Amino acid sequence: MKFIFTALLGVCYFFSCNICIAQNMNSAKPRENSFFHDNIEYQARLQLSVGGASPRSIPAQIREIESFKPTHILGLEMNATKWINQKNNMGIRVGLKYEGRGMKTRARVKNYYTQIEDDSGAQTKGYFTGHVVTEMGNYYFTIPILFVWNVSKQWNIYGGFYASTIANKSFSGYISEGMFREGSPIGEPTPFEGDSQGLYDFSNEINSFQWGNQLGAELKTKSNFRAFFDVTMANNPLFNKNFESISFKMYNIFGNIGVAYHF
Amino acid sequence: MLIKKSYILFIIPILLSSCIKPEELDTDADILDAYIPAEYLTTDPIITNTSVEFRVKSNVDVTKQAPTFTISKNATIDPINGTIRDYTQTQISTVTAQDPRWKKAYTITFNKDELSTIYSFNHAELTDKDRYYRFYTIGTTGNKVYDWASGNPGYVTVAGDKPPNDYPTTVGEGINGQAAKLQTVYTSSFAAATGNPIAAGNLFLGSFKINLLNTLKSTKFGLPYTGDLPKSVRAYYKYKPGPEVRNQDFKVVPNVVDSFDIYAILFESRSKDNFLYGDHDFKDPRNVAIARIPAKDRLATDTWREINFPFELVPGKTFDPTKEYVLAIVMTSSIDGARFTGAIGSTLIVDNVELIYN
Repeated sequence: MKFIFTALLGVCYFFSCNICIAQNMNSAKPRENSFFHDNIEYQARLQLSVGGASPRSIPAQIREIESFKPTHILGLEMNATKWINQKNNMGIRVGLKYEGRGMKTRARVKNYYTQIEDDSGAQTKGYFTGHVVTEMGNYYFTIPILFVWNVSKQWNIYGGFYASTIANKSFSGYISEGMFREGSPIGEPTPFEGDSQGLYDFSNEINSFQWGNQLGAELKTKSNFRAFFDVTMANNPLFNKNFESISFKMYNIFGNIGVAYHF
Repeated sequence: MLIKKSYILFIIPILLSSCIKPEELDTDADILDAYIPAEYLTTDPIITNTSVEFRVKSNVDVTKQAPTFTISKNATIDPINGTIRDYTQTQISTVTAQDPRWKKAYTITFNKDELSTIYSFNHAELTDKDRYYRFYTIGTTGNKVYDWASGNPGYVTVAGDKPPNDYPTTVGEGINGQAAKLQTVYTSSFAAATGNPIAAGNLFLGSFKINLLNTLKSTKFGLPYTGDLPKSVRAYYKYKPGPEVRNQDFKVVPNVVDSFDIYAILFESRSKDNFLYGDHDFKDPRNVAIARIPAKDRLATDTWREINFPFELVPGKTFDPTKEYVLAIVMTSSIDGARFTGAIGSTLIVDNVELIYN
């Protein structure tokens, strides 16, 4: 919650600064060409994100995604679009976003390499066949830098890059209902039956920096509201380079929809 | 057109998760069950991740035996089931998984030896990738005989890279040579979450097979016994209780000093499940005679102390030396270890455990 408040404050601050700057420009030098006044528009956005951290292609270890639930779906953004050509239909948009990136999944796995561990530092790595529940709940501060093109009166499309820094990280879960084999697929077997679980928590292994691509479209309405949808795909893995407790690399891949209020 | 493209991008996450690759070959290469004619056996075959032991009656001809094995799905075994071999010495059977990169060599042992009546714990070896010790004795044919089992295999999952001497059951310095050293240790936060925050060191005649659902069902006490009713159990020990006794919620139990336990139970033999689970609490109806160290002898001592405590018949039971029985000798560094209560650091060192007869 603390992070949400911080983020809201951040977004408000960003928002009010822009207004202040705009107003100051207005009052001080009316009608003069001002970078923050002419050919520029401001937007506040509320987004809902659905997606997750996923390998680029699902490895054979994962046999079935049994359930998927989006979590931490809210995001807030303020952005500014500066039109750069005379027709005012192409522009550069820069924003600041506070966004949740979460999911809860349950998968059936076969020979899934993982590590169960505890707070005393004891760790056991091995191969698990059974069910894995994963809960991810991260919050990022994200700066999108996008090219915007008004393709028609109703639509614009936008695409570009984003860079994120993590505000709150959480990646944990458990293995259950299966067989854990210590060290290798023929190692000492530990059956997990009934309520018994092997816990893992890889929160501290999450990379604090993310960057990736974003591509989307915006539908204008007669009012100041707009609807949008876009896709963000990370180019660097969710976990740090040295992280080996999951044998495949995972990337944040999300679809986002929402409404924008245009000033 | 571009708009259509962005639609495609939007569904990429869904597309990705639907691309499940073909299943890879099975890697399990386990012996799940082992069979010889039931009348040969004195107790169920003892199967571990790499060994099978048949404890057989003294009149069985081990030079010509053809055990059969149930193995993992899609695995193969070499030699094939029903192959007659001479089991005077330990033989090897190799189980190969469906994925042939994974195979396991099992030692297959036929053991005709009667239970020993004296144990000095002078033979111990590192096992399971050298992570912990297990004790053995030398059988009449030179085979290693693993009468004693401990909870160490269950500790592997939470031990991380702890050295063998930090496992609950390890070797200590004995009166002559080695002794058995049992110590109560912290398990892990996730074991604690399920009510098993501590593990007492234990050592017992019997076998161990992990059961996480009910840890007390992992320990199977008892091995086949024939002969007279022993008069008593004699042993030498040192004991140091840990500073704070904690219960299964890991809360400190005030004003309690930890203590250890050593006991022996002779109980009636049966064909199936011929053992006592760790939660027997001395109440099993099969029990015939029990010897347990009395409270007054459970003392903290840093020098060797001799104890000798008698077998007492369970009321209403008689002992018939011509019948088959099962003997369990159990030692633990925390007397309430079976209830996951004990003091981390409690250490029991035991040597020269002997059954005393008239």
